[in-house]
Amino acid sequence: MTDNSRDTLIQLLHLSARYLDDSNHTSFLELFTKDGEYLISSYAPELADKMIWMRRSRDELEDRLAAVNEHEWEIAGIEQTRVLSVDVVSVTDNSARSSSSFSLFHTDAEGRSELYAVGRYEDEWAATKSVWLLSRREVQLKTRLLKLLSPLPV
Amino acid sequence: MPYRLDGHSQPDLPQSHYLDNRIYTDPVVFETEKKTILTDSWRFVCHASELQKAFDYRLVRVAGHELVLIKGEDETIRAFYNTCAHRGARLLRQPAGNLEGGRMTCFYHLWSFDNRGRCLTVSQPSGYKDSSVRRESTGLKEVRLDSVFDLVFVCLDDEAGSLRDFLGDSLIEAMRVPFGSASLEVFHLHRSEIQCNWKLFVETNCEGYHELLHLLNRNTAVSQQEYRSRQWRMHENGHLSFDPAKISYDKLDYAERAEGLLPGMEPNGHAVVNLFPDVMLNCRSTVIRIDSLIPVSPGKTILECRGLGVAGDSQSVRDMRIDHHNEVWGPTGVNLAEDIWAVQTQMQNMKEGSSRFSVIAREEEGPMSDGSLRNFYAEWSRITNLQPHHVEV
Ligand code: FES
Ligand SMILES: [Fe+2]
Repeated sequence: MTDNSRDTLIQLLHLSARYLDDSNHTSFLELFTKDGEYLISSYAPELADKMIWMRRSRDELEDRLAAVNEHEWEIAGIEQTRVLSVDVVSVTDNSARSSSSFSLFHTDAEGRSELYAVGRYEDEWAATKSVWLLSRREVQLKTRLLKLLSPLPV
Repeated sequence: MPYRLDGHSQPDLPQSHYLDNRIYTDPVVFETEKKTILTDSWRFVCHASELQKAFDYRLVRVAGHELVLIKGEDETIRAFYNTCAHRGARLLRQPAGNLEGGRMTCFYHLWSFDNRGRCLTVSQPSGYKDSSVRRESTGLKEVRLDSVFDLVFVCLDDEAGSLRDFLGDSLIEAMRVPFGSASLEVFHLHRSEIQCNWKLFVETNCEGYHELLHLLNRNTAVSQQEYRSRQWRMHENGHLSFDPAKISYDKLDYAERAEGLLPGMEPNGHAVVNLFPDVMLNCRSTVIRIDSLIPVSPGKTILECRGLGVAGDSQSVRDMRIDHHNEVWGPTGVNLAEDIWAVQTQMQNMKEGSSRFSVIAREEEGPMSDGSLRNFYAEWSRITNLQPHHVEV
C-alpha cells in the first residue's frame, strides 16, 4: 500500500467511531471485510480470565443491527459520543494493526451526559485493491459494570 | 368515573393477588428483609469451579457483609467474615487470588491467619501477657457453608436448618439435569448495577407472562404449541421449577442447539429452576446461566450473572457455549438488556409513588400464570412477617 496508509487508517478509525455515534450501521459494516469478525471482550478478576462478551461475523453483526427496532433496547435510543486516541498503527504490506483508546459518553433524552465506558479498539486491517478494511475488531472493555447493557457494537 | 384498576387505588382483588408497591421502596421493609430473608436463608455465593486450587480464595457479599471463601489443602471450601479479629480491618483486598503459603496477613498490625481461620501470629505478643488475648484462642469468625451439585451456599444464621432441608428433595431432583449430570465450570461472570428493588428482578426471572417482552421468547417459545403446557412447579420453601420445554430457535433464524449438549439436556431444550429468594438457574441445552442478586438498598441491586460449560471442554465446544451464552444472555445478549430496562422503569414509577399497586392476578394452567409470583410472596410474607398487599408506614 502507499505511504499514506497510516493517515488513511487513522482517518478510518475516527470514521468507525463516528458511524457508531451516528447509528450509521451500514457504513460501519462496510468498514469490514466479507469475513470480518467483531468481538467485545472484558476481564473477570474473579475468574482471573478474559471473557468474550460478543463474537459475531460481519453477517451476524448485520443481522443483530437489522433487528434493533424489534427489540426493546434502551441503549438504541441513547445519543453516543466516542472520543478516540489512536495510539499505535503498524503497517506491513497488505495488512495492518492498530490500537486505539476510546471513551464512550452517553447523552440521555434530557441532555445529561455521562461516561459510559472506556476501553480499547484492537484492530486488524487487510488491504484489498486500494482500500483498507477491518478483518477483525476486538473491543476490549475496561468498564465492566455497565449502566446499560449493550446488544449493539460499542 | 375513576377506573377500578389504575395502579393508584387498591385493586378489587383477593389480597394475595395484588402488591403494595411500597414493598419495593420502603426502607423499613428493606431493613426487615436484610435481617430475615437475606440473613437466615442459604444464599448462593459461587460455583465450586471458581476455587480450583488449594488456597484459592474469593470475596463475596451477603446481606451487606463481605465474606472470604477459601479452599483448604483438604479440598474443603470454608467461609469467614473478611474481617480481622484484632480491630476489624479488611483482611483480603483483591476479589480473588491464591493465599501465599496458605496464610493471610492483616495489613494493619500484621496479625496473620491460616486458611482455616486460625490465628498464626499476633504481632509483639508481649503486650498482651497480662490479658486474655492469646493466639491459640483467636481466629476468624466462620460462616456456615455447604454445597449441592457444586453450587456453593452460605448461611449467616447459625441456627437455621441444613442446606438440603432448605432446598428439599423435589427441588434437588429438578436441579439434577444438568447440575448433577456433569462437572461444570464457570467461564463468564459479570455484574450489573440495577436501579431497582431486588424483588422486581426476582419477579422477572420467575414469571412467564413477560416473555411477551422478548422478541426471542415471543417467536421461539410463546408461539409454540408445546410451550402452553409448560407449568411452574412449586417446591417447599418458596423454590420453583419451570417444566422443561423445547425452544424453536429456527423461528428466528437462530442456530439450533443440537450439538455439544450438556449431559441429560435435549436438543433445543430449556430448563429453569428458581431458588428462593433470589437465584435463577437457567439452561438452554448447551449452556447454563446462573443469576444471583446482591440487594444494596431498596432501589439498588447488583445482579451477578455466571455462564457455565463443562469442565474440560475442547476449545471449539467452549467457544460454541460462549456464543450461545452471549446470544441471549450476558452483557450483549438480546434478552438481559430488556429485562433490566423493564424493572428500572417500574422502580422509577414506584419510587415516586406514581404506581402504588401491582396486580399478580393471572390464574391459568400454563406458563403465564402468576401463581409463581404468589408463591414467592407467600414465602416472603411467612419469613418477614410483612404483608405484601399492605405496607404499614
Ligand atoms: S486490625 Fe488486623 S492486625 Fe490489627
Ligand atoms: Fe426476561
